[in-house]
Amino acid sequence: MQAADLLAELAAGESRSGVELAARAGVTRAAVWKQIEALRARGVPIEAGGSSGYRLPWPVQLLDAGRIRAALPAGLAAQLGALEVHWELDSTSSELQRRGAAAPDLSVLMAETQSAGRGRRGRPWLSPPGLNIYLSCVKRFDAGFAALSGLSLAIGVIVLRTLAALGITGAGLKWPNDVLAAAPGAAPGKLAGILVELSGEYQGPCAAVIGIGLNLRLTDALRGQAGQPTCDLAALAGGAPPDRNRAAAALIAALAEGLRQFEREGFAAFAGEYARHDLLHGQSLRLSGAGGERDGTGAGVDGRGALLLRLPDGETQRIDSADVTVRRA
Amino acid sequence: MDLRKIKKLIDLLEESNLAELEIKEGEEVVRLSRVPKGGVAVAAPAPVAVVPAPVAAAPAPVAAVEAAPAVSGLPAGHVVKAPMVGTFYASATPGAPALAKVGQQVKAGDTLGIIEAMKMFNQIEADVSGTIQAILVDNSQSVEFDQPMFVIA
Repeated sequence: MQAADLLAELAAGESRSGVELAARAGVTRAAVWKQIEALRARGVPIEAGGSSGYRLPWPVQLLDAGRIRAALPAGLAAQLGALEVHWELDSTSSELQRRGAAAPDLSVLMAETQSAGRGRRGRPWLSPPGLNIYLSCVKRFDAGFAALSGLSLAIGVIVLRTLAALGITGAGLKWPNDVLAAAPGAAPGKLAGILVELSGEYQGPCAAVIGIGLNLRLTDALRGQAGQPTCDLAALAGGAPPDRNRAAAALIAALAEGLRQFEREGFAAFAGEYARHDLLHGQSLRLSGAGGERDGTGAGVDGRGALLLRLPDGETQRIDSADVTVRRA
Repeated sequence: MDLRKIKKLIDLLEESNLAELEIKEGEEVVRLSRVPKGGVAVAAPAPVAVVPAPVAAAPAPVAAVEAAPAVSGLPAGHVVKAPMVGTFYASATPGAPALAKVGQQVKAGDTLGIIEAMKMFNQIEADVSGTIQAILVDNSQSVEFDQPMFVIA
């Protein structure tokens, strides 16, 4: 019995006995228990449900490429280079990078779980199965890195568009592209993380591998492990997150449309939406990076997506790279 | 006019004895002229449509690698330059060993470092094989477009 099969048996959220699960899979109860423990170790909150039974606290929808395709807008599936759902990858972005030129433009890879999900600078991205979305997409560009200015910010706007399509509003962007939101009565936390990795020719054909982790449902244990404030769609939607396949389809549709729009029009097409959701505008900020620390006030972003920082002397600086924290009075 | 075409024009100019080459295509004009040191610089007054602001300010079509370093005092060899503005990271993750060290043998395609800007990460690859003669940037240092980073010979 594989962990994926066991999660599928439990997906409806009903209690299943170890005896029944073992009989259906043709394995021993000890083998079932071993896989239950493996899923728990990955962060799936399987409860003991009555006498030697197991259950999930809520139903989950396992990712299904067929259902995702069916939920895409008409004609969109044909524009994707590939649409694959894997049970486990080390990292969806690492897998796309290994494929290199073999992955057609707008290939989309998803995994139920990642063994080495990663964020910025090798930071881990927690990737328990059945709960969230881990997706990577490759987009090729003809005109070199300079044409990609602002891409990472545009992806942040694309995630906000996805949320709006799912009926969820109120999320904002922390430069360059952290997607933050606050559940009722809670402090803002990270709802989605975006990692963009470039390869190819600086002045010719190049590719961006875009990795997105979107929190649909976090458990208390996962929140504790995250190392920073987090938020999930379940909390924003009043308890039950959107159907995972529908959420995945909304994200893929927004990516395919948004990336083509970026290719045609660049960051300019996203600048207005970015400004409306810019959580740093007018805030007291502390930037730390290569040049040490600097304090100032957020003053939006420029046409390339660089952060504009108004310094105490009134001068405005453009920031391409820095860690930003909001200073609380 | 796309960049591949401009690259071809540069190759043509380099192979020829011409000092200057001007091509008109519709409303677009590209003028290439040789600089005395033997490199080639674009002196195009008309903006090249496909290249937005950051590159237009300092056009250098052979940005990634130049045979003869313009900066004096560098060891001879290929100079790998920064393809974008950002922060240079010498290792893949904080605390990990540097991807490149002086004296190290590298093959074309090996990763030498990473530049990050606006959370976009770009692996800097060696585009020639050889030995690293010099590393001109420090970990976590900010780099400018076209700034020399590595010398490989």
